Amino acid sequence: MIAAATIHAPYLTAWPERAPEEHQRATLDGFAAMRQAFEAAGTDTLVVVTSEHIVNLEPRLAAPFIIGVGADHPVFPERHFNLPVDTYRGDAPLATALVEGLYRDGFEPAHSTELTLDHGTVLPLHLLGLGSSVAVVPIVVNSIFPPLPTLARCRALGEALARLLAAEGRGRRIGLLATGGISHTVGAPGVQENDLAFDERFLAAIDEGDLDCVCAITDADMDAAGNGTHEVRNWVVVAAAMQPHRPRPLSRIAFAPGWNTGVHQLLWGPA
Amino acid sequence: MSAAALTQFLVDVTRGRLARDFAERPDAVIAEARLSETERQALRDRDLAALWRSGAHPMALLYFNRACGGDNDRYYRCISEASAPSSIG
Repeated sequence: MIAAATIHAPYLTAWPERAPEEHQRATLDGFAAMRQAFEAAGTDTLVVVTSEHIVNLEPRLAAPFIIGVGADHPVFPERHFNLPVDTYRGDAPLATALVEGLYRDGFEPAHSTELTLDHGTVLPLHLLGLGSSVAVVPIVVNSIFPPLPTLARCRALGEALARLLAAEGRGRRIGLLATGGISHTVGAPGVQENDLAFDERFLAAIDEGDLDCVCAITDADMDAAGNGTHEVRNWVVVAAAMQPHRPRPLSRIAFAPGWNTGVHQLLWGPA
Repeated sequence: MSAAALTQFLVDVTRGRLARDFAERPDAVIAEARLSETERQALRDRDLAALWRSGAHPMALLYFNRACGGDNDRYYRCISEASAPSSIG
């Protein structure tokens, strides 16, 4: 199984020109490398572990994990980010099987027939450019309305997903994609900064497959690194699902001025 | 009232079930909100600093500002000032 992880900062499509050209090129090269890997593997279904930004989750109802079981997934219009407004083809039978399997395995994810995708999912898919022949099964992880699922629980979810995808693949060629992170801030002071030390610590642990070290990161650590940092939960899910395999970096830009974030993209799979 | 109730109101009027009503009759929607009078006044005044200090979720407040025609520069200026430690004396 091929897996990848990437940031989904809206600057990438809204104002790409704000970052140095070399950063723009490196980022797009990273997406191209992911695309090549997924295509070479014949990926026909992509399970996307992602965050969203108040298009499904709200204080009134905030589930820790939501699996999109719809036949297709509507897109929340974000034209100011230069993203297409369309629908993404889902895989209802696989998504439903994942829900049922997770229930048997002791998880209780929510499920939605109308899970709306925003830039957290749409931006990476747009830049990945796999085309409409690839079905999408979104798994939204609550990273915005506390209490949030623990990193340990995200790790366990990833391990459970790996078992289920092996058993319930139903002849599909499935890939995994994590989006979000790494350290960044949204709507709060510090929006133009990231936390280099946090990113280094997190990525070093992911690179080594040291998920015990990752799970030792606290919510306070993530708050201090920026409120958007909680999205690293998605990376933990995918990293856990891909163990014991180690990722290789496709891009590693500590900070892209103009984009207010680092750029980090990883790939698990054949070199 | 709780920060969660304030955040939920901001979500309802920007992306939720009150978005259309708020666009057409904002004062009426605010008047009907189950919030404190201080919060309702801050909403009427579009007082981002006051809403920030009331515990509004940053993302919800950012979207509220955008829905009210505010730009990001003003938003971040207001909340940075609201977040700054106050001097005494």
